[in-house]
Amino acid sequence: MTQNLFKYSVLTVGIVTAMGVATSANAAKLTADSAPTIDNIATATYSIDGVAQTPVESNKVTVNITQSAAFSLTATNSDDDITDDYNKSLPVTPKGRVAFNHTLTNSGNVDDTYTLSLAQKGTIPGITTVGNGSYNLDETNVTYTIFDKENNQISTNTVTGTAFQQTAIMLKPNQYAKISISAKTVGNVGGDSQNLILSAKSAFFTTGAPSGPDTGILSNINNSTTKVPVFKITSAVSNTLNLNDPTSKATYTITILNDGSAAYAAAAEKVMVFDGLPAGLRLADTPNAVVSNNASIKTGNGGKGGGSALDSVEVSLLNLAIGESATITFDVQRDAAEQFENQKSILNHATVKLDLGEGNIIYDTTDPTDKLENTSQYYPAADDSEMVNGEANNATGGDSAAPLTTNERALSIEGATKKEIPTNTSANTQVTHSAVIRNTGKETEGDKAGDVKFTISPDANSDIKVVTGSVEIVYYPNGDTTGTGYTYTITRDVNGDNDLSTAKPKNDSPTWGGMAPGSIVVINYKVESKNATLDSKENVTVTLIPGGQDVPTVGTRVVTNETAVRGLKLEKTQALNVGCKANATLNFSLNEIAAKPSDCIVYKISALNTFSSGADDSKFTFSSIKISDDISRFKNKAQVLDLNTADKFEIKLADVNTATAEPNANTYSAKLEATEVSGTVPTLAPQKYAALMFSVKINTDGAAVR
Amino acid sequence: MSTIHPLKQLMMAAIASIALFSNVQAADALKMELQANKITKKSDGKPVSVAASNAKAGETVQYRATYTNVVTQPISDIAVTLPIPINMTFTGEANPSSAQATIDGKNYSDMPLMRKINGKVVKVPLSEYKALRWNIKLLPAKKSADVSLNTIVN
Repeated sequence: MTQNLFKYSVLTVGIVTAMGVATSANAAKLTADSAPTIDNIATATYSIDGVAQTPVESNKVTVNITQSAAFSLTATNSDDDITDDYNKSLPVTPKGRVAFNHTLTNSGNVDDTYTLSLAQKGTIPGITTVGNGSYNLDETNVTYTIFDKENNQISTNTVTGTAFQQTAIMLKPNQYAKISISAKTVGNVGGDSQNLILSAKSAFFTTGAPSGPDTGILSNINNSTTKVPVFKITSAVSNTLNLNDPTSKATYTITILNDGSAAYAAAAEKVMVFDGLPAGLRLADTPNAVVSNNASIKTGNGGKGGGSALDSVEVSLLNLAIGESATITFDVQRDAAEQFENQKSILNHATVKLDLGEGNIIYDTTDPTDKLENTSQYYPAADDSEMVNGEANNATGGDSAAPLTTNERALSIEGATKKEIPTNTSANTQVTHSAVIRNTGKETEGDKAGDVKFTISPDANSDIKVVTGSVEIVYYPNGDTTGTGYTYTITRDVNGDNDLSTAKPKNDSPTWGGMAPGSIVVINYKVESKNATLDSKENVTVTLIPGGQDVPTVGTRVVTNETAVRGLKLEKTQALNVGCKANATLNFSLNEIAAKPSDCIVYKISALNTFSSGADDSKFTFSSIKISDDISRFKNKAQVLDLNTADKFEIKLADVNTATAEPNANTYSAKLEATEVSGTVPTLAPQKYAALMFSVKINTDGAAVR
Repeated sequence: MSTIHPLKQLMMAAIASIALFSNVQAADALKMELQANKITKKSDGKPVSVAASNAKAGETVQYRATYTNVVTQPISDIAVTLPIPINMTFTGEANPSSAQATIDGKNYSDMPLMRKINGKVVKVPLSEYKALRWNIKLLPAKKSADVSLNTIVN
């Protein structure tokens, strides 16, 4: 370093003649009227004729020496200006050490003693101290080493900062002392800036100074700025865990960012990361534990819970430059030997440790409840925070942990229905089928799109159709249709799927919120018929389609609803009455009958309402059923008998009990009309019969009749 | 040319010495005068010597001792010792340059002085020189000579 009287702290004293003091910013000069003298005398010995003579002395010569006392104290750390009195902006970790270097030089020609001391604070132009940091002098070490002008070391001492106070160093002219302060900071956090003053007081100046005891003091001011890495830790998980599937896995991604958004950020070396899994989780059979940045990773048993499976990972030797991040990934699965604390919100926390030395270890974690976290000792109050709801934490040093959700879903469909329908329906005679979706799992179902869908599909080419817009669901939270039900409409999407999440409240039902565990949803839909074939049966398939996360795979997925076509069924039989006897026994048959002219044929037409009797009897009770038989087919070959013909046979129409029973009266006034024999039954309930019976006599030409 | 036997020469010197002893003791045969001069350089670079009564740090002061044989006999084995004052440092310039030096005031050796440090022979710093001594074999009667050394004011 080049010495410059007006750049670093320098004091000089010249003792020449008149007493006086002159000062400037960094220098002072003191003069006095006395001067030390240097006397010198030469001596000689000699011999005469080989005999030693009395030694002789020369005259004494006196040289008056102008004494110059001068000393300098320089701050010698490499900062932006090594020629000033300041060591500026030297980095230090919180509660860490920083080395401040100085040189005290006796540049005069007189011996001088300097009293040294340290003091907090001080002012450096252009630098404002920040925070509550200071220096712990008890733990500060000061080494002062004295050299002669040929740079040979004369002595060295190391003392604490406290013991260093008022230390006196005597320096001969041109000797100098290197003073190295290993300053221990205290109370400082990232971004704090703190000053320390080193002063040297000259005994020579102080004794000779007329201006007071403070004369002859030079000071340097040291400044350190607290730098420390601050970490943004993120714990993210890839997916939910399906508890119905013991092989279900999820991948955790732990990201450690050395947050460069902090003005006090610093590079981090040998960072350690630990992740102990919460109770209920363990590392997967093949954990695929990987770390970036050429760091080391190993698995262990450091997780929570009583299980013995591997349930932790530890990363070491991780180096992170400012702004750099590292990623750790590993797979987990359920540890059946442990219980979850909250299986709907499982938080896996990662912890970062960084040893700053001096016994200072940063413990930063995503867990806001971890009492070991000590980041408040290292960072400003606003920095380093934790969020555990899965949202990004954008604050400086903001940590976040996304909860892992487990699912234990179970769904089934049941309750196939069988219904009867007319061959052609009206709005009144459409029938309603149903199916029941039962939530037997532990999750709410159908609250999210795609979670629970169903389709309603008639058989191909069926004459039975689902009535558009007729699909409704009725939600029974308690799982029992005897309880309160809430009705919703559902409109199928373009794919023909009905999604429970689209349910719209009906009849003041509450907003759809999904199916609670143990609840049921009854699907109702109407079907209609058009020209359906009597007695045919048509199927409509209701298919449950679970979707979303952790789709359940067990349980009934299909229900088939059957629709039978019902209506009025007529059966015409005939019986031979040989000789047209009044009280002949009649044997009705569907078969052909061999008859002779003048024999009689008795016809019986039975009408049956084929609907099953039951709750819908009123809907499917027929009314004004006209039963008739066209006589044109046999009127030229046979004569319809009644009570007015020669051979008398009463036309009868009445309710009967069976398909084979004969009407025993003409209850409903059947009669021979011009073209037909007919009568009208007022009503015919399901499974009820009515029968029309009349007789014809074959003409004498013997033509066959039916 | 006649030659003198060495033993005879020695005996003659002893006799002469005895004969003169009383005279020398009565009045010093050797006179010494010491001067202190500041050495400065002129603009042409040549040194100028002026009597030094005052000096500042960094200035060169030369001490010059002039010794004179004031008797009619030659004197021999003269040892002139010129101290180097405290607050001054020998510059290494001595005249004659054959002077010996000491760092303890007792033991003199040829310059430069050397010593061993950690098995290595190194020069003794000039700042440790305490005095120089010149050994002169013979100074004829009524003759003068001088020795000098340069110092720098600390």
